[in-house]
Amino acid sequence: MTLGRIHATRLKFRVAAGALALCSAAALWGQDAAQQAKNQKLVLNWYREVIAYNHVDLAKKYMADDFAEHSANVSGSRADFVAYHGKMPAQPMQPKLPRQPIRILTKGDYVVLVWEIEDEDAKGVKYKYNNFDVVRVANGKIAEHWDSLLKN
Amino acid sequence: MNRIKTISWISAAVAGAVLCVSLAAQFQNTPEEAKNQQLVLDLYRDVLGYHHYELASKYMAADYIQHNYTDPQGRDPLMAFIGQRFPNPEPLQPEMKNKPTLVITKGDIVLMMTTRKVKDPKDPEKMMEVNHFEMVRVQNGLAQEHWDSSIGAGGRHQ
Repeated sequence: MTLGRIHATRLKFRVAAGALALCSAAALWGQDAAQQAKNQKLVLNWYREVIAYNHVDLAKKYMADDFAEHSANVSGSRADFVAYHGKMPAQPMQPKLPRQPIRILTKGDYVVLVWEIEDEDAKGVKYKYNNFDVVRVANGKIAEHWDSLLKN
Repeated sequence: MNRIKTISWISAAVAGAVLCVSLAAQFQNTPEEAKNQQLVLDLYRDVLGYHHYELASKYMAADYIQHNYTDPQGRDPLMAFIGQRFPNPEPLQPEMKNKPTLVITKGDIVLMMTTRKVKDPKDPEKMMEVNHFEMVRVQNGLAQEHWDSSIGAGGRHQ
């Protein structure tokens, strides 16, 4: 084998490796964008139906068996989540959320909802504050949830 | 020759697969997102964590927009405000003081979450999880806008 042939082989290898790497990255990117859109839709529907309108009977439809809740008011399993939210009655289901998040960030397995809420402080002065929800999706189900709520 | 070709193709396939797995394993920050994330983490480490206010202009825009209603608007007024509470800078460290448990960067937005386990004030036998959030928008390589979860219902501090 001549030196020229060795170089040609190396070049072919590099081209092949580069092409494969690019193809994989492109395929993954496309797949990832579609997956993220699905995750976002899942989280918004779950939030609307189970949290906002309190239909805890739908918990199993959306939430994984090994779901974990991380909140000041309830930390624990799906059963703990249902027991806590089930204290309040379900509201008539609506196609829209009662309040829209000011931002939705979807990245990898995570969906973040950012809320702006108006309230009055102890002196009666109106002000706005932000609440946050972070949700991790795994295998098409809600696997974990964190929020910024204060202890009731 | 054929053996070399086979080895080349196998190597190429392995390289492709490794790239795929490494991309899938992380959050796939674009180079721009990685820069934004680093800027915000450095700002929180140096300026807000170790109180090196002299470095604020390296990280923050002068017209920094504040959504926390107890904190002032603008970089310099904010530095003066925090400087009253924490006047003494501490030696800079490579690690953050309160490292977030989760960082998510999407485009120009960097979100940091810190989860702490604390005693439940209503039942000291029990532990509860409390999450704190900080969110920063980056513009032209500087932190431009800030939201956090310090203030809640009725103006209560978290």
